[in-house]
Amino acid sequence: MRSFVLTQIEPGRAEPLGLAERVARGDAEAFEVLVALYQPRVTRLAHRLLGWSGEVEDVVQDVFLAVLKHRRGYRRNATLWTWLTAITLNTCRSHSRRRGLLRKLTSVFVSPRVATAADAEPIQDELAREVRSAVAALPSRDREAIVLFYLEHRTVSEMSHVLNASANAIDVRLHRARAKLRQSLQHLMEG
Amino acid sequence: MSRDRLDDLLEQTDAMFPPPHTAAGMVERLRARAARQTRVRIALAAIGSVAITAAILHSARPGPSLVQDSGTAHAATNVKQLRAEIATLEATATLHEKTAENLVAVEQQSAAVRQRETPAMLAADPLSFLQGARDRAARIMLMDADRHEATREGNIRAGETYRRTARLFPETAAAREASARLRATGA
Repeated sequence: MRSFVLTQIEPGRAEPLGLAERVARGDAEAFEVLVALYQPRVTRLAHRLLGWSGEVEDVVQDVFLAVLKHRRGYRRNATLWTWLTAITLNTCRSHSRRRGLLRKLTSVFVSPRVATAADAEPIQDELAREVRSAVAALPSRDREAIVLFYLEHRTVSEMSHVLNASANAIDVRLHRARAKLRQSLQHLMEG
Repeated sequence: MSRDRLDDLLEQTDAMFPPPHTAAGMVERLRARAARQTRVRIALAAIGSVAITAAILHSARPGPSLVQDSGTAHAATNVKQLRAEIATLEATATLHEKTAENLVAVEQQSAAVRQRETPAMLAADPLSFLQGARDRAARIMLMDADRHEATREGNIRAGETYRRTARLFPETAAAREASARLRATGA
């Protein structure tokens, strides 16, 4: 903590020099700095990737535990945030798979529908609710493309690096996701 | 649908559902979880090691299960044999019991006949009844001795029977006949 100024890292801001290397070496202090700096961004990204569900505390913890576990796998040719984004994407995919499985099991043994944290929130905007439902209904890879492109404002080049796919593949994925959203939200686009 | 409109909708929705505020102390919670995961891994490794060791030790023992199985089979065979013997003994006992019951029944019938006949004779002339009984017994012994005397091997036994008849029933006609036969044979 002595080496860094603890301000949250926002998009576009430069990353602290040497932080990733110190984390990779197992520096506990550097890890604390990493968590303090990136926790809000990781939380926001996970919240979006999970369809604004609000169940992100465990996911964020899993992300930073994965950082601890795989810290030696960090590649210097990527920024720290790109690396964290990739880990967050993988963690959210695993979480979604577990949640889907749990929902299936629960529908078999308890009831056909599982209440989510979002259900408990007061829905004040019907439009936002419909958009959220439409985004949540997308396959995870399409939803990732929409979130990274429209909400995280990543370029196709950055997305291809994070998603480990070619730029063309990202373009196709984005086009497909937009088409699905267009079909789902067609009645909202008139106004 | 234009891209700008979709962008607006997504940003409005994103603003409508802000991320939850995460409580402070994330690093401490992470450390606790990491420690817990480490303990679980160690415990699982220990359990796995114990299970593998137990499996190896169990497989290395010189066939205890086979011995146990043969012992069990032997015990089962013994039980079968014992049951068969018990059944045989029960059948034999039942047969003996029935035989005894039949004998008792015959004896009771004979006793009943004797009781029906004897009291009347005893009441009329007890001495004559006893004399008649002695005469019959002496006559039976005499006839038995005569039967033995007919064979070469039975001469000795016939002589003994004549002597017993004369000794046991001296005042009977059969005893006198027995004494005459002894004198005739020079015994």
